[in-house]
Amino acid sequence: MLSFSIAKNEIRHLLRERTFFLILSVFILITLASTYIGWSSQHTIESVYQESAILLTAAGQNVPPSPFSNLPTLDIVKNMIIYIVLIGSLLAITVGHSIGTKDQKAGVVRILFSKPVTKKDVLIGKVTSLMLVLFAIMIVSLGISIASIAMLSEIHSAMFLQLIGFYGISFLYILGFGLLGLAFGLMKRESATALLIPVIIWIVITFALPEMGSALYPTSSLNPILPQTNILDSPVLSTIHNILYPFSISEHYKLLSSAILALQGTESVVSVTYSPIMNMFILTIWLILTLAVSIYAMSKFDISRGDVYE
Amino acid sequence: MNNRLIIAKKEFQDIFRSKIFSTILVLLLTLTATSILVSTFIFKSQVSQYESSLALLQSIGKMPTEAAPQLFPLNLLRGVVDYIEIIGAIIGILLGYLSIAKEKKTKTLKLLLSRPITKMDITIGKIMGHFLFVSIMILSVAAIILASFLAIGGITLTTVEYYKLAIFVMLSILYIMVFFTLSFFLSVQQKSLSNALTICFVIWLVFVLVLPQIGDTMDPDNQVPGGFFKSMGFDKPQEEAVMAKFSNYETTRDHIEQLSVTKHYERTGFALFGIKKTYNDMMLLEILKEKWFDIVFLFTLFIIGIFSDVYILYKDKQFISS
Repeated sequence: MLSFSIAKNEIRHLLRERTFFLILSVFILITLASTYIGWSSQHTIESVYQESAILLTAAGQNVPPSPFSNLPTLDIVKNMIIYIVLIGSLLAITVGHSIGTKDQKAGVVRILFSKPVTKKDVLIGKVTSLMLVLFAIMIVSLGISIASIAMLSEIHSAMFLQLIGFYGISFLYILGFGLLGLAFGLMKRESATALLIPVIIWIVITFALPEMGSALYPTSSLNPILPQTNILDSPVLSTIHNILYPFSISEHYKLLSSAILALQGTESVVSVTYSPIMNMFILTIWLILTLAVSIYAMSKFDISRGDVYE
Repeated sequence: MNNRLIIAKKEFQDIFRSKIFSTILVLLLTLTATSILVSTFIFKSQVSQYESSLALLQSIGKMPTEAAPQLFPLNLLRGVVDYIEIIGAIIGILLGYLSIAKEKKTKTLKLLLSRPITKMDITIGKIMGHFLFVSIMILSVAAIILASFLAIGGITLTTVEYYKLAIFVMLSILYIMVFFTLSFFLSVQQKSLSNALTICFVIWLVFVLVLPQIGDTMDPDNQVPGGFFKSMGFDKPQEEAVMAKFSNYETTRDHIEQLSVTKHYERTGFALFGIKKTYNDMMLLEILKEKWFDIVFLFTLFIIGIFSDVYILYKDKQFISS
């Protein structure tokens, strides 16, 4: 009951924060735009293929089959995978950070713990509020994706289930970042440091690990269609890949999402990849680890602590 | 003038005391070296692939149709441009934030203004101190680049390549300082420093990552791994002939990319380093002539940033009295 009250209070506070709404608006806007961008690109590239075929025929050359003839309907939402990795994760860090630092910023830590409240109650309350907020955001995104697909293309029950699966996985992925934001919010005395550490971890997971492990340049890894990198031809790169790949959480998330949405051409160009079950297992480990960090942060939390510095 | 130098010196010294900053700097330098190493292995892999194909073709009495991969050392710096785009911008934001946060925390600005120092001195002094620091930081990145080139295979650069690297260093400083001035402005303007930092991150997210990403994914050539036109067996003139019929779409895509300061920086960096292969055979002056708009865009944003910072410090009474 106490945890429930804490969770309710955290959500109320979050809904009063302007910066939360700012990032949320960006996320919602990009969710709205992503289906249109996917749809528009798909139509244009089909026309580009037709024009190319006319040119080749006129020159008396063979016309290769269209690489876009069998694209699944859900191909138009493939950009959403990247936006979850970019904006969804940062939104989750901000929400976690806000929940983690709220009591300290308000200077109410001592008052809170002078009541019959345990650290466990507080942690359960904060984690519950974080989960509820992120879950609600994913539900809204799911609704937007379904509505936009229905408007621009067609949607049937199987796609509906695929989208639920995709947003379910996305929820688990961003929850990990939210828990990191929460943990460092509890651990660090300076608000900026508490925000920056999870952002640095996010940079390493999103850009550095895919580059080191799979030779994907930081900006290239943001395209749903991955470039060709034959890293297995290099024994050194292949060895680094084998060592780092299990830790490349963003790659596992992207692969699993592509598998759920049955997308083509988004699979890793590296031939040593894991099955979707293995991807899911690694994402679960990621979530357990980030939860463990939050529990550790709360166990070390100084209940006599005063205000947190801005 | 002396006041400005004193403030600049103080700012410069303060940055060294920040632990967060040193952590991010170490991260940037490590990623620079790692990125060059990865690019080198990719190149070596391409060479060995070519050699094995060549041997196979020769064994059946044929000759290869493609030329052997040629090493242009600056081509290996694609990852470095990417990392400065992403992490360099964060460093700029962080520096601007810390520069104002310390004044707000210690409430020293009022005291400072009781001395014969103007707000202009404070703004210019702070910008000068950070400009110097960012310059040293980017020069360290350049030093790491040169050291990595030497370490991985004794690669030395030609005079023109040194010039290109020097221009890239200057552009990188400008790019980071654009984000510094933005963060400085918001940290003064916003009541809460956390809010200022979060707004900066949202701007960073949209202009550094999202807009360039939208532009890239709208590119028809990016819809097939390895490139659509390559999969069709097209050369450049054929590709251009097809894309001429989609000029409106391409213009929209280009305008989306042009909204992002990062894309202007990236386009110039990629041209200087020959990451877009067409620039490898161009003279430096030709490249600069083609990329003048991107360079002027960066410079203009930096100047606007300086004026905005001076303006907000004069306008915002609340910050001074806080």
